[in-house]
Amino acid sequence: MTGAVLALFLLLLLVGFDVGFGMIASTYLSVLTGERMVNGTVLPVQIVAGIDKYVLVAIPLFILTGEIMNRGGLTQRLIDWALALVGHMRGALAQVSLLTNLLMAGVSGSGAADAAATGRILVPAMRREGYNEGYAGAIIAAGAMLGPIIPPSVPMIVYAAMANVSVIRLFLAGLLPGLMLFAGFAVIGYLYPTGQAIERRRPRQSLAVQGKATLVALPVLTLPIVVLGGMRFGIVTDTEAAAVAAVWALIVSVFLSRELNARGIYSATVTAALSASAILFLLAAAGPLAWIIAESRINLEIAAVIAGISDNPLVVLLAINVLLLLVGCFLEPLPAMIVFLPTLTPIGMSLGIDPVHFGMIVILNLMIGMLTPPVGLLLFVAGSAGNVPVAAIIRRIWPFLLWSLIVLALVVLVPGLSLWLPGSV
Amino acid sequence: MSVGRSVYDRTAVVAERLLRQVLCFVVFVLMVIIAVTMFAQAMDRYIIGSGFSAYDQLAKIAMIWLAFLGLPLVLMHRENIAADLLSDFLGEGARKFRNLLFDIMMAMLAAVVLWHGQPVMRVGAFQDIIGTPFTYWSVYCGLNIGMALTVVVLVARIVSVFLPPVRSTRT
Repeated sequence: MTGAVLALFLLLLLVGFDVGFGMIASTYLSVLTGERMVNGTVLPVQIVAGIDKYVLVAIPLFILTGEIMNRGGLTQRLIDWALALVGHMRGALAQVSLLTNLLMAGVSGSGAADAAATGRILVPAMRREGYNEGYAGAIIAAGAMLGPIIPPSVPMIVYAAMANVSVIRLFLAGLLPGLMLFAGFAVIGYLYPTGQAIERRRPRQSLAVQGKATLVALPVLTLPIVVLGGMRFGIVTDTEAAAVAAVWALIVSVFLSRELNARGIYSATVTAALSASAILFLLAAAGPLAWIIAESRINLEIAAVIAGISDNPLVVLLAINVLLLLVGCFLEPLPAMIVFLPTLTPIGMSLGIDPVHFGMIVILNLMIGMLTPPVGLLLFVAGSAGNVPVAAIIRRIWPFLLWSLIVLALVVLVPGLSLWLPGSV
Repeated sequence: MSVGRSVYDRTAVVAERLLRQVLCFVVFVLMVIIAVTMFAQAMDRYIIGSGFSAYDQLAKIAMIWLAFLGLPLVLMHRENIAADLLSDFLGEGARKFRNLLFDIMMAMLAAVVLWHGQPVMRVGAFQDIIGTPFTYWSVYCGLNIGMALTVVVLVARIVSVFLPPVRSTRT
């Protein structure tokens, strides 16, 4: 019967039904059949249990931080700073976009939010300078993919809550793979525009100009250090760090950049609340389905089947990667994690993989899925933010996708890439 | 203009605007509570030292309320999370029919959760949330209010589909 419950859920998912209500519908079907010997009260109890976790409080706060940054002109400060530093390079605006996304990723934790924020400003600017519009959209989408990999990251918080892993260890595990992705994207951005763009070359800025731009952007640049440093050295907890980030962004937006008034604060907070509600309801609705899966032990049965593919752990890991990449093409990271983590985590444990390393593999796979045609979410967000046809972005996304897959392979094969930093700092 | 539609439309527009504004204010307040309690927890530890230890519980209650009271607002804005793989292949009529069907299913499911949430709320009144004057009654109350408002929002949307279309009075 549990198989039928999961089949119903997947069917509802594929026809475009709300993911949260789809999970509730499937669980209720199981209750109605009477197989589990429970009544409907399991629904409200497990729905509340799904989000009755303190660590999840960080999610609305990091989303609020990102929203305040976007509305408070802090994104523009980062762009100006990046322009002063790398504006003279070949593919300057591509480099600016990547550098801005790298720093935004250190604050907002949401790829879609980053793509929307930078895409609106940088795609028109790239278009004006003769960049191919598809390439401009592709670079925004690729840069935004760094959001959930470079800490802080909303998917990492969810993984930590579901797999009982330390949030700060996961955050630190994402740094090196995130920087590798950034470096590769920057090289592609440097090489790619030849023959593609009639680019206006800017003069190299003097040290004085660069210093001034750095000073102006300093309050934003220090934010990731405050968040990560505060957490790593035990000054603040994960959730307190998120609140400090939000208050910091608010102070800078109101008193330094002076671009956020009372109405703007209200609007930014309500927008952040909407995004947070959508995510939190999803996590709440996952509670009953996770309970059904755990009760039926079907996750362990599926895990045994996957683990039985081969005696070689690498072959099993390859199978998991292929599965997650396929899932990531169609599902956003959060629903995908909610559906598949209860099954995949036991496999990781049976293979002796460190849960932090396994978490990085899961998140990298799902983020690459967001960049993968034809339905990768970031392609659509970048297209919508920059008013670029998605088909044009898809034509230019392949070099970024290829490099992402190379980094994924390295992270899978070399656990030290994700475990060295959490173990040594 | 259809009289039924006209009266319903005017009432619905006013009610929806009012509900939207109230919910926006409520989720704003909840976000502020979450941010302030978490920031205060850090400040308390280093500066004030009051010994109050339930900041985390208060923030968690506010977050749970945010999840459920934000849901009707999320549905009003159609910002709920769904994997929309079929829309591009459906015609306008088929898409409208599918959306109507989904609204009916979601309203029914929210009503089911609300129905089963009543007894759970009563039981929750006996479960204290340590360090606060609250019990789990308050948490389940948030769930039930959220589900009730979700039903209201979805039923209003469903009814508006079945009313006759508005005919312009201009020639």
